[in-house]
Amino acid sequence: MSHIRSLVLSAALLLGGAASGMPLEEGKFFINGYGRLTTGRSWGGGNVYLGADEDFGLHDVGSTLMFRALPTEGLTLNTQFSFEKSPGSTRFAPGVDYAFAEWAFSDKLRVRVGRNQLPLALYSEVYDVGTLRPFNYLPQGTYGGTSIGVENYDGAGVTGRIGLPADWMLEYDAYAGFLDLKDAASEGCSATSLCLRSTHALGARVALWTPVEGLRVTASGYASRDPQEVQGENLTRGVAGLGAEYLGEKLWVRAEFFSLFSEQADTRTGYLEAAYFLTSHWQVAGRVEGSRSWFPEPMPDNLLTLFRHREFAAGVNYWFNPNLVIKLSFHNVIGNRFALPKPSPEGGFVFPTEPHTRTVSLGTQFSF
Amino acid sequence: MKTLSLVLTCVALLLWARPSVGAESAGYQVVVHPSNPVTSVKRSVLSQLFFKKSTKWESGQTAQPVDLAGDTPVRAAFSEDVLKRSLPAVRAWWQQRIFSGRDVPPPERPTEAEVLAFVRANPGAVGYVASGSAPSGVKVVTVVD
Repeated sequence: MSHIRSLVLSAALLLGGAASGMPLEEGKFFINGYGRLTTGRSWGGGNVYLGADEDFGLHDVGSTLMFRALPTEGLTLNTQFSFEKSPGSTRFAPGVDYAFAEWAFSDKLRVRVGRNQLPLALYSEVYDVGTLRPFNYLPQGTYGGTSIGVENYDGAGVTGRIGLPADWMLEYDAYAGFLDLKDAASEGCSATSLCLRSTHALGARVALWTPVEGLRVTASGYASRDPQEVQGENLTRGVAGLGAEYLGEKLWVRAEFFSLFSEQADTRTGYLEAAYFLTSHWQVAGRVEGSRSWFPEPMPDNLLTLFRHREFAAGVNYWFNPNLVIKLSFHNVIGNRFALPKPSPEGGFVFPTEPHTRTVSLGTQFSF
Repeated sequence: MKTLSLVLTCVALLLWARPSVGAESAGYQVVVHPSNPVTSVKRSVLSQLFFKKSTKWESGQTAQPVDLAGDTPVRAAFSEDVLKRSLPAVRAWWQQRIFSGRDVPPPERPTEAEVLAFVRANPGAVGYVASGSAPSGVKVVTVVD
């Protein structure tokens, strides 16, 4: 099946390349981009959280360019390329985040084919855009090293928006394709590296925009199935969640709750995040988050911390304008689900682990 | 760690002390192509057109909103009154739409003359210019709540 996937992506890239060479009218071709630079330090038994360990250093650096072309009425071509060094990684890697063609039959029905942004939860479509969130990093339980929030899928989808009475609006998405899930338990992964598990997926999201400007609620999820059999069975999993956000003039509030169901383990995760502009430039932010996994078989007590995460974070940001921000945040974490313990030389972790981690994160993000 | 704290404190104080930029308020009038049958338009409808939550006029004609570029007082007034959002909040909304691959903002024109030219040239166009003038070749419509 991987050749179908490569073919879809190549076709979308070819279309994008062809469109970029077309003599497009003004207003038919757009270039946008964003970038980030983050450093930090963690305290707590050598634990690494948000890429930060006991030494200050550049932990997360990346830049992204997005091209959007509208060669004919109804057709939109989107491509996005990134060049980044992710937390925990030691090298820069180029990548194709998105490359898809969209045909709009009407506002109510648009069809997308290629590598698409994953319409899941509140942040998946704008995964790395730092100027759209109050912290340097997204809530880890939903968007970190889990099989819940990922950035894109390869395949086809439909989307549309439907105007409802009294200024309500419904936006929907449905899709099918290949999804690379972040999975630390994949074959060949070490205890501290993040691996990808390729799956077949089917998913949907509905977002209800209320008449209150800036307030929307979402319900989203997907079902996935591993193409490879393990002990004669294809592993399946389901993800479902609810979210709500209010993006007002001064106040931003977001909350989400997600459940992951699978034969291997069930996970529940949720967070509440709020940010308030004290002036047009200064913003304060806070977040509480929890994530926990359950296994079919009882786990030894000393391992439980590896599957739990509780966090309180507070931050202060300076926005030069909506496209440039400096953020400083403090994260108090209990549990080692995402605050990874020091790896042992033999592989695995050094036990007993230190469950308490404190991290300071300092970063800047821009977009244009 | 001490040095870092000191640097951060200094930067914070400097930034806090930055003078804020004020904007004088201004009036605006909404203009459409003369062939557009509307004579008045609901504020919420106009807001939906400029946020591209809806893309058609009641007649079925594709709407083509056009913005004044920059942080002009006229644009700020239109934004506050019609979109019920400040300019930074409108820009933040469009960032979300752009980067989620959903949409792009309406085209911007640097001067009112160019906004009027855009409206004259496009039957579905809707724009705004400073109130007080009597623009030719376009139709001024009333905004009602």
